[in-house]
Formats: sequence, structure tokens, C-alpha cells
Amino acid sequence: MSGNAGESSSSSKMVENSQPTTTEKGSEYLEQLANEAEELRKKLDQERHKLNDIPIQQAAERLDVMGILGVKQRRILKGHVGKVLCMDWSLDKRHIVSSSQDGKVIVWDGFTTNKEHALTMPTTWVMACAFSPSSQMIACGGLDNKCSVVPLSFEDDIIQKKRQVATHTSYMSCCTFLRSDNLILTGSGDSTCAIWDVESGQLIQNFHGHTGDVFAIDVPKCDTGNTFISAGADKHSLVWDIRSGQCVQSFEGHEADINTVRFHPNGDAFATGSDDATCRLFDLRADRQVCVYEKESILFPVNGVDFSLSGRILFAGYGDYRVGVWDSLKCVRHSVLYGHENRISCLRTSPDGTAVCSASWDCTIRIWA
Amino acid sequence: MPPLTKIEVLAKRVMEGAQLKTHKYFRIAVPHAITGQQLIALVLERGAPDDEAEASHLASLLLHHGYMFPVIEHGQPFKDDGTLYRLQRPYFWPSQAELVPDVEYAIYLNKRLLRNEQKHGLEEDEVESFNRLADVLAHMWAFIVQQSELQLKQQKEKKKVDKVVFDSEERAFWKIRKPSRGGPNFLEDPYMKTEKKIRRQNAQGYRCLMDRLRFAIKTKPWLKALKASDTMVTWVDQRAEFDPFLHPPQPSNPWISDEASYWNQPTDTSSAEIPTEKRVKRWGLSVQELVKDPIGRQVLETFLESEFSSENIRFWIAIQDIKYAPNEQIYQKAERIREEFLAQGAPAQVNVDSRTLDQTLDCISKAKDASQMRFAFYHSEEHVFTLMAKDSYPRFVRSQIYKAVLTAAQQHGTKRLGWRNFVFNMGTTKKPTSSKPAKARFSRPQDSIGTCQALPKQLSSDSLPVRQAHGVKPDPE
Repeated sequence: MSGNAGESSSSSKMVENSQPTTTEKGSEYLEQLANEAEELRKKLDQERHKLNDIPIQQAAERLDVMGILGVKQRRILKGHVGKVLCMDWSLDKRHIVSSSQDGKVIVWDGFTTNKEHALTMPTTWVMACAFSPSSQMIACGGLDNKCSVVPLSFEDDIIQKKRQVATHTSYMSCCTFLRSDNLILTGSGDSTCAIWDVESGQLIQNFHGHTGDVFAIDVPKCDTGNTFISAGADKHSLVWDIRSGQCVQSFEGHEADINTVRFHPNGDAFATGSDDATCRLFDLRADRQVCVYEKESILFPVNGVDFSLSGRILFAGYGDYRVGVWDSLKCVRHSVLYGHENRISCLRTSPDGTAVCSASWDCTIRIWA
Repeated sequence: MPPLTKIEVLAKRVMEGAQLKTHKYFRIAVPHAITGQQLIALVLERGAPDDEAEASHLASLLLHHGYMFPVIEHGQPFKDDGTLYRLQRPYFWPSQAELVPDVEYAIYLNKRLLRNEQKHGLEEDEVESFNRLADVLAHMWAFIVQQSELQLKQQKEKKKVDKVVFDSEERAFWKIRKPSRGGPNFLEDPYMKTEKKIRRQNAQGYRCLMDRLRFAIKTKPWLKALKASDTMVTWVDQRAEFDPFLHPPQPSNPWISDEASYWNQPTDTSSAEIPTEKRVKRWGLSVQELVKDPIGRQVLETFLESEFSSENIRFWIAIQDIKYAPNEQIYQKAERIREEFLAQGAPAQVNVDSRTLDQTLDCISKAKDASQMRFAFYHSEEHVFTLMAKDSYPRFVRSQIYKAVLTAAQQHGTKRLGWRNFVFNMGTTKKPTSSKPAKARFSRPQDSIGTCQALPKQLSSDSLPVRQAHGVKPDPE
């Protein structure tokens, strides 16, 4: 499966992989199903087309154009020696956890730029890291196919307290705590997502449906939803019901891998970023794509997207080292933030919306406000 | 390397427009070159950038990815002056050579060793690579030597200008492919991109997909959200004033002013302080905004107490808690919720219709494991939340309690009083009705029971009549 060596594939917690059952169902049968699905899709598109919804740009005409924002680089966090692959904010609005290709995980006070903890994982390519809601714990993992949690304290060597919570059959590409320190949601190259009980490491629910590696997941910010979204190499974004493990909606449109996905603050829409150099906005209630954020002069993949607090601004971190600042409603690029010297791998708005943070292959993390 | 296809289009356009000629660099003739200045003009014309800064950035990207290279000064950032550049031959473009076997690199290095040392000598890094390759490829070294001699011979037959240009192109190609130690490798792909796999959809997957599509065709979810765009624009516009990127927060954005005072204002957990006006105003936008805020929840609970229906919010909070609780606590928590809110004659029985109640109790009894128990209360949760959103929330927004908190927040700074004091002080004109005995509360996460117990249980009911008509049962007590 995955290219890394030395990982046991017999763990009892393993997420089963969805392999095509070619034995009982012939390829003809599959083709027939594919055609049927295609027919249904066309019919659905026609139905949707009959609706005269206003395009978002037109609805946004009544809004003023965004003025000068004056966003500048305010902090630079230096300390990684490898490519920084992922970062996450603490809910205290100033601490940041980051992970890098050389296996290092660092906890920073972003405000003072001090490093508070640094640990070395027994693997390279630590692709995912996350802060727990209480800020007492971090989770991380990657090529080891596992998600480990580490409680943060200044008393002992925290790496000793590292505990494995989740195991996939391929690399873990993304993880996030699910509204409490008790549950963790992971996405993996084995094309599944799963929810795990942090304390016991038990699998609570798994999610089959993607036909390619999962690269990104996100949970809505408001409490009322029971859903999350995931996206990846199959170019689809899927909406899942946490309770049943069923996929309840799917969205397509991107022409290449989707690398990142973030809920709109209203919880009814989400943005995606892809290798096709575009970001897109999808509306869950309207069940369709609302907008494409693209430009002829943007040639590189989008690796991180996030919204400002109101959802008016969409920040996008690109493979061309830049952060694009988009007016999410008028669908135009407002400005560009220059600074990074290699591709941006991850981007997130701080929990109170006062800043946006980007992580890059240039080994730095930068905070913009 | 699919992400590079778009930059390749730009590289092609630039190449088509470029007028290459021989430039003078001091007293040396540099053939087949173009200045940085000319390049910028080309990119501006053909790459559709917004401004010169973007054009310059696009030019650096072409440079980093090996679509052009500096003729004389290597390793420098792109300069839009008289610096001379050469456009890379498409044969050497990254997409044309996705895999570069070590053998080819060895041939290239060996070729240079065979030539004039002053002109073609190896750099330190390259010597290292060469020695490593000589070790690794020892079994085929004769072939490598033979190949390099052959290529050199062909090279010698070319015209001098062509030779110089080709040499530089080849060198630039390997510089991008084998960057010196510590230097960035702009062509490297992340692990997940090189290893990703697309699996074929299986029959089960197709069936799920078709179910989903059929369901969507039947239910037409988009009709419910007609004018979804308009709704979103309104939503965003309402919140613009709370967005620190659009409106500077008070007193200041800590990242800009280096003053952390913005964060030291009443935080989510210290509920004794008055929340800021902005924060209270947000509660008025939607019920979601209200319950998202821990103080908002408490104020709502106070309000519901005055309507004798605080069990609704407590029930809802308890369910949020169980949904995200550790596995081993699930059964215990579920039992407590059932006893407190759902069972016959429960102390704080919530008002759900019998069908929803039966569904919920059914789910509880059928739950096979903690995972199912975790979500067993779903039906009732939804029912109660809808009840709060449609019934209680509109009254909350019009209520004296909400207005009082808002006023308190607006006057924040003149009087440093907790919102509780404000709520309860404004009500003192009406005499407090007999307070209920404090009853056992369902414990909430990060609860502030200490302060809660000090609360008067009822507020004046003159302005806030108890609604029974709406099906909200008064508290059993």
C-alpha cells in the first residue's frame, strides 16, 4: 500500500480499505452502474438548472468594494530545518503547532515567536498536526500511518507521554479534534476518514466513499451540525453524517486533486483549493458550486484556504509562494501577500479572526494581520 | 508533474514573443540572450499579471522552475534590469524529463571532467555526487565513460555559438534537478502526490452514489435555499463589523500593536465580566451565534428560566457534551440524560412529542455500543433545538434580559459590573417572585455552578409572561 517500511498492517484498529470487489461483480456490471449514475447526475443537473438563483457576484453588487486592508507580515517563526507541512492554531488565539518533513513538531507562542515545545517523531513527513480545544494536547502523524497525541506540560519530557490513537493503512494526511479533547477525526491516503476515541484508541466511526487519497477534512465551526467534509485526490468533496458514517452530499467541479477544504463561517458553505490553481465555493443548502476563484496569472496549486471571521475574505496559500486575498462575494482577487520563498503548504485564520498564518516549504511560518 | 502545465503555457508564450540576440557583457559577446527588463515586458504582455510586482514574481517562478536561467550570475534572484537570461530549450523543461536517472547525471558530470578544467571543472557538491555515483554505478562505468566520450565528440562538431548555448542549457538543467546541498529544490513533489492512488469505485460505492442522487432529485434541496447567494451576502454583511480584517478591533489588533490587551478582555470562560457590545450584538443575529458563546448560553438559560423552560437549553447542552465525550463515559452520561430529561416523571422533562420521545428511547435501548449511544439522542436534540430557535429565541431577542445585557455592554467602561448584576438590577423595580429552591442541576462541562447558584431563579414575570400556549411546559416545580 504505502511506500513506507516497517509499519505493521495487522493492527486491530485498522480501517478497512474499500477495494473494488472484482471477483463477484464483473467490470461490465460496474460499467452499467457507472452509466446509471451518470444519467442520474445529468438529470439532477437539469433540475438544478431550472432554478433561477442569483449568482453570488450579482447578489454582492449591493456591497461596497473592500477598501485597503493593510495586511502585512507581522511575525515570522523560524526554527524548522525541514519543509513545514502543517500548522494549527490553539483556541487561545496565539499558540501554534507546526509539523515538518524532517519529523519535527514544534509548539510556538506565535505572539512572542518563542518555541515552547519541540519533539521529534519517529518518521519523516509529519503531514498533519492539530491543537486540542483545551490546548492541553496536540495530535500529529503522517508517514507512520498513525495519529499520536501528546499532552503538553512543562514538567516532563513530553515525548515520553506520546500515545497512538489512530492507525490507517496508509499515511495520515490530516487530523483535527472533534469539538473536544476526547475525539479525533483523521483522513488518510487509504481513502478513508475515521473518528477515534482519544482515551481508548477505539474506532468510533469510519467513512468510506472516496476513491482516492483524502488530503483534507474540516468540521463546521458552529455546534449545531453533525457533519464534516473531506476532499482529496478523487477531485470530489464529500459531506458526511458523523452519526451514521454515510456520505450525504458530494460536490465536484475541480479538474485536479483537492488539497484543502474549509467551512465558511456560516456553516452552510465551504471553500476548496486544488492543484488546478483554483479555489471554489460550494453551498450545501443550494447543493451546488457557487463560485470559482481563478485568474490567468495564477498558475500553481492551492494548498491552503481559510475565511476571515465574517467570511468576506478568502485567503488562499499557493504553490507559487504567495497568499491571495480574495473578496469571496465579488469573486475578485483583492490583493496579494508576498514573503514566502517556497511553496505554501498550509494556511489558517486564527480562531478570533485577528490574523492568518501560513506555513511553507521555505521552513518558516508567517503570521499576517 | 501536472501542476506545472499552466506555467508551461506561460513559458511557451514568453518564448514565442522573445527576441533573442547577442548582447555585450563587458567585452564578451553573449549570444542568444534576453535582458531581465525585456523579460518583464514580455510577461506583462503575455502573462496577464495585475502589476509589475506580479510580473516580476511570475518571472522568478519561471526562473526557479527551470524555464529560463541567468547566463552569468547564478543563484541570484530575478532582476528586471540589464541582467542577461536565456530561455531554456523545451527539451530540458521539467515536464519533458520527469525522471532523471543517475546514469544520465553521471554521464554529464563525466563529460565535464573530460573537458577543460578551468571552464568546465566541477563544483564541490558535484565532486561529491560524482564520487558517490562512481561507487554506485561502478558496474556500468565503462558504459558511462563511453557515452560521455561519444556525446563530447558530437558536441565538438557543432558551431561554437551553439556549443556555448547548449552547454549553458545543460548546466542549468542539472542545477535545477540536482540543487546544491541546502538549496531549495523547487521541482520536488510532496510525498502524497507521488504516492497517491485512485481506486475504482466499487459496486457499493455506486449504489450509495445513486441513492444520494435519487434522494437529491426527489427532495430538491436547492429549492429550500433559493436565493442562497443572497442569504450568504446578507449573512456576511451582517458580520462585517465583527471581522478584524475589515474593521480594526477595539482596543487594537494584538498582532499589529503588539499589545495583548484585546485578548485580556473577558474571555469565553470568565463569565463574571460584561461581554463587549460587539459580542452581545452577535447574539441577536441568530440562535447559533447565541449558543456558540458560553456567556450567551448562560444568558439564554436565565431567560428560559424566566419562561420555565430552561430544561431545553440544559438538555441541549448535555447532548452536545455526550456527543463529544470519551467512550467510557457514554453510558453513564446517557443514563443521566435519560433520567433527568426524558424518563416518565423526570425532574426536568423536556417537551418533546411522543413520537420523537419514542424514537429516542428506542435508539437508546437499541444502541449496541458506545458509538451508537453517543448519537442516540439525535431526534430529541433536533426537536428541542428547533423549539428553542423558532419559539424561544425570537422572544429572547425582544426580552428585557437581552436588552439589559446589551445596555450593560454598551455602558461597559462606565460601570464595571457583571452582566448578571445588570440583568438582575434592572429588574428590581418589580419585586422578585418567590424564588424556587435550587434544584440539582445537570452538570455542564466547565460549569460555573458557584455563580449559578447565586442567581435568582426567576425574573420579573410582568414583562415576560410565561408562555404555555406554545407547548412549553412550565417547570414541574
